[in-house]
Amino acid sequence: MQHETSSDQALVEKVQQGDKRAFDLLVVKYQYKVIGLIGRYIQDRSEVLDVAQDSFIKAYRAIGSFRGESAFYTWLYRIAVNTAKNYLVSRSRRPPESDVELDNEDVFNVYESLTNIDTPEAKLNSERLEKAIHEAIKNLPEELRSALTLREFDGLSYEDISLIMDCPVGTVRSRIFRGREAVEKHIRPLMDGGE
Amino acid sequence: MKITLPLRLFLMMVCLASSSTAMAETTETEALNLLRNMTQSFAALSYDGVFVHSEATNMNSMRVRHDSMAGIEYESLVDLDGDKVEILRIEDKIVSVYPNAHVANRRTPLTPLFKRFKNLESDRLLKGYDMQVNRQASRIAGRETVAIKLTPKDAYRYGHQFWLDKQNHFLLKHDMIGADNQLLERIQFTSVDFSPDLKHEDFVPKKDSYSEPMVETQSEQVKNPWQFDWLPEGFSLVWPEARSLESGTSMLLLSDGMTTVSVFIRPTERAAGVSILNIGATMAGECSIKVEEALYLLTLVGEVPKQTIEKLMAGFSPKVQMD
Amino acid sequence: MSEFSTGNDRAVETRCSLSAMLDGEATEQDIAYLLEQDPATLSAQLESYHLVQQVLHKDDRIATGLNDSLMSRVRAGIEADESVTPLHAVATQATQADTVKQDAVKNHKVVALPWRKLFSGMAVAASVAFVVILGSNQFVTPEIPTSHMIADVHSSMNNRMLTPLAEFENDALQVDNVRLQLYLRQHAEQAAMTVGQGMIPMARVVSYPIKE
Repeated sequence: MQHETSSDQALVEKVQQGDKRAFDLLVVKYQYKVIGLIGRYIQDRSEVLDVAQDSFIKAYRAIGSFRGESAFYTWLYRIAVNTAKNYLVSRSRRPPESDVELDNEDVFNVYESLTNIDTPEAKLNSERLEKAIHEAIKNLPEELRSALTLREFDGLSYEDISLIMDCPVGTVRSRIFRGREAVEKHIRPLMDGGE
Repeated sequence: MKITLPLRLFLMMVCLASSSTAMAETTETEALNLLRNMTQSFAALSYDGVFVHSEATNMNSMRVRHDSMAGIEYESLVDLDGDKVEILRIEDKIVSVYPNAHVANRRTPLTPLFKRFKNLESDRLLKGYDMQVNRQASRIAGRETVAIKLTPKDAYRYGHQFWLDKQNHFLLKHDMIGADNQLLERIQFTSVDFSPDLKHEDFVPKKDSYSEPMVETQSEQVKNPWQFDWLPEGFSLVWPEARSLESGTSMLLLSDGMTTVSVFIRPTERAAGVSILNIGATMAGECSIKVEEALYLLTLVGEVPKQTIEKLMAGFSPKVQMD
Repeated sequence: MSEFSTGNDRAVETRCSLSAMLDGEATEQDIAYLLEQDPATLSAQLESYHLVQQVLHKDDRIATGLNDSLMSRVRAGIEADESVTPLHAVATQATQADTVKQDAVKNHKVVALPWRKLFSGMAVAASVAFVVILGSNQFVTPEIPTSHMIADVHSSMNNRMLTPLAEFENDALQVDNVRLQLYLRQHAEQAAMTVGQGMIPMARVVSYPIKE
């Protein structure tokens, strides 16, 4: 998606110009995806974090060679997968039979390895959280729910959503944000206290 | 002046030859025009139809819908028999939709630049196929048709027969034909509505479904280390450069204007001989090639005969020394 | 964003810019604004947005807990290494390690299955003339993506560096079925774009959802 590329490209260019804060933003944006991706190859939590750290550092070192001809995440994805595979080989462990594909689902498995989700408490909290998110989304006003789901489910750009919902792009941006804020407000107590 | 018999025969043959050449040209021009119209009809018409896709003993029915709304092109393809998988296209964006989250399609398609490929490649088609038009073809899905037959000029591609709607030149039936007139694949509409009442909602994933956006992989402009020593007549690269997929795979695309052969190449650790697989009309071949100390896995996929895949694989080689 | 009731407009603006950045829709102004903020705070904020994404995408167990720990570690790693600079040259260096061999992955399973069954994951009548041999396909890979190899059509022969196929051992071909499925889909999509029949050529693969 072009919009994704151009936004990330602006950050990449800033890193290339020496702005390390821009790289922080890229890490913040993609850390879950990268950890999720690596979590598909490596189960141990601390190893996942080590390899993720290593991948980002490698990406930073090589970012001068990134020319924006592919999406930044495509490029980062390759670094992360290769780092994970090489890590397994270096430990004489077998990498999986096929590569993990580049998609949003990579996020999920990671969390499990990150939080020892197998404990009954963690599982319960996770289920509560999920239920709360569904509930919050269900209770969103129609226009916020539509904008948020068109973005999250369908990966549509703000421009496409504006065409589908027949409203300006600025309104789409605002609706998605307000949707997220409302959900966040609803789940914050669970995230903070696990209650 | 008296004309000798041999001369008379010669003149007669010249006349016959030139008139049959003229007829062939007319047929080819007409066929190309029809194919061009067919291509355009897919983009220009609104339609909601059900067709059957069959190959060998398998058959699947599909529903295809297409419309343009506010200048935006929408298209939907739904499998009616299987898991209700749907592919949605909004302009150049493709989304795969599944009935629930448990059926995940982990794929990374390329950016489908539909608009870029809407032109008919007349010159390349003429190099590979003889063309005939039959205006007395049968009725399909309740509509009068005109048929175009593409007979391959060599054994490196399959034959095709198209039945187009006589009025709007929409494709109602397509046969892919192999050697000895063997039917390899058929697509045939059973019903189609050219005035469908389609709305935005028809092209938005349903509430309980699971959809997966397409992830873009753009081409990278780099030097060109591979080459084909041989290509069938009329085939050439569709893209000036390769597209890079995940895991270090590069993809190239060959086409003769009617059929395509996709070429995938990636680094590998294991040497392997040639292996050929097929499903319906689609043939795939794999082998490894060694370039100095590095091994690469080459995979070709296309609706072409086995011998084409084999010959293309054998003629695939590095052009320059790779770093 | 005057429609928000919160008293802290600046914080709201930050989060709005962050939301846009997550979607790849951040403007230059958003980015400039975000660069002024504390990344640890941004990271914590983004966590809830990521959670929403997860739940919307899939019913699965979820959890939290990353916060800014990874970002801090990455930053520390970068800063600890004085020589670390985003240089083009480093990428080139990294590619030269790409021929590392590994012996620990020789064992592989060999299973013969009809291709269609592999693709569909369902019991569909097989019309397959050949079988696919499954196996692992593992190698040590260059970590930094580099120039990809691109083919061109050339009439001249240049086989000096090419080992004839006949010299390879006649092992069963290692076909990673998932990879092959992806190739088939990529191929069908490109065919759909090239042959001027709308998405109809995708009928070849639409009934084969890819599964792992």
